[in-house]
Amino acid sequence: MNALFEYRNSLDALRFTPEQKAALAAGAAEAAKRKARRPLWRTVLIAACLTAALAAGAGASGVLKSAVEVFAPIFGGSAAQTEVIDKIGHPIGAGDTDNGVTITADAIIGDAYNAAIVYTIRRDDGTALLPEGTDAKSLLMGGFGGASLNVRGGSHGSSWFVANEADGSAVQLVQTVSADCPINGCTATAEFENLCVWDEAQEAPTPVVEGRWKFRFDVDYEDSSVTLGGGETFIQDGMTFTVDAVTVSPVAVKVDYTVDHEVQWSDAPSGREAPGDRRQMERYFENVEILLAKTDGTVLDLSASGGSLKPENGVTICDKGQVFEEILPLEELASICVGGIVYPISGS
Amino acid sequence: MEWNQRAEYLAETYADAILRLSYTYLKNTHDAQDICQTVFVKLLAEPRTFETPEHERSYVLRMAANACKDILKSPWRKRTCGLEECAQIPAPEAADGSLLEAVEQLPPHYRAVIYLYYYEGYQAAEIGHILGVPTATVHTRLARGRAKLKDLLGGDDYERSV
Repeated sequence: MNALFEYRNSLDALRFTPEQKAALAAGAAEAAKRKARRPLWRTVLIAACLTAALAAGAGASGVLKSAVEVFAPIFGGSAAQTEVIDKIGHPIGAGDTDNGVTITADAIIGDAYNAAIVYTIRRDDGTALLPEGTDAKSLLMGGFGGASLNVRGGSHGSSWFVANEADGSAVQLVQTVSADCPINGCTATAEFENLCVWDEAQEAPTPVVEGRWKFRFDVDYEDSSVTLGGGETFIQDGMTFTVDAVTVSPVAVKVDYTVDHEVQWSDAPSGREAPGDRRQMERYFENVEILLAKTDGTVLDLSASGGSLKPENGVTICDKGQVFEEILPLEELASICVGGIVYPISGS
Repeated sequence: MEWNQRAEYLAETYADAILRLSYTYLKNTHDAQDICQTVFVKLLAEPRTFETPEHERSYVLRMAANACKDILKSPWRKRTCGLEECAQIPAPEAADGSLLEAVEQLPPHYRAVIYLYYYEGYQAAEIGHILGVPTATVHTRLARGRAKLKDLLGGDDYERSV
């Protein structure tokens, strides 16, 4: 068969059903309506922040924002979400200035093993931070790009930029961190180097804001997580998985489990993943299903979360989890299911 | 046009094309619905006027390509979707030695130009506009993509067909 014909046929078969298209349309229309309402609310909120800054008579970097002001526009501002942020979030206010640009860690929120931090990056003279036409969401960190925690364990996470619609002199950076050991009470060192955009022609990042910034702050907030389970087992891929603990908070989830086989890694060169290692990752880690059910019937599939695997004395000790994309009050969570074992969440 | 009607028009006209482009970039169908949602919400919330249907189509594909690139650049790709949504769009089966399997082994920027050129039928200048790169870059990626495919698949039959 002609290869190009076959290629086109394969892609022709890739299509949504009429029902899926109808659902996509309904979802997009609903989301667009919410988005159309959102800028006003966000502008009001940002305006309130600016008013507070002016009233205090201080420079932007010197004004300590409340955790609600910082997190509500990003992680959700419903009454229940705001209540959670107000209870467990913590303002920071630490920062550093280089090359006329100040980076400030505004606030932190988290639980025993996870945290989300929001930074504001601002040009001190009030001029636009980015060249005209640059979308904040397209920014990349040139080198260092966030806080590392002074804890004895591994961590993973993500970060993304948020445009400040009312103030072109600043953008925000959101960083999430998940660790395999407790982090609350430790010290974080934040390091940043250059803000870049992706140059398609060069296929490499190009700096649009140059500088180096480094500062420390305390990881300090109220941990409202609940720990569920311990000792339950399930069998998958011919191995027995023992759930050691499931930790759920309004901010994140973390599942600790032990597999009764020791993972064997191949001796692949640095930076390469051998096919065998890929299969091991799937068996020990990626195939472990984590489903979070909300009281409204929505189910969030968290099976693609990050984490770690540690072979040790014939078994493999694993943890898997992530920071949520929005605040999820415990009252709105019904249960969490790990490998088919359902754990009711008592906050519901 | 009322929002619901406009959303239905966008889904009917572009959902499949966005799904295929997303699959080309990301090699999975899980993120395609998110990409569709991102594109459609932007078009609904910030309506634009297009000179021609072709202009609209290339603009929509450009938005989808940018959304895919955002996901690729994300240091940690998050994929959260409802159980039913995740299971409902089976990825095409790339048989061993097939062109689709070979294309999937190429870097994302090669996959995108090959998809837009050979499936969507765009010319290099139009692809450059959609992807935001110079036309010469598109030519380069097409040539290098073809060369890599030839290496992967071997044989003159493939060279003639692509």
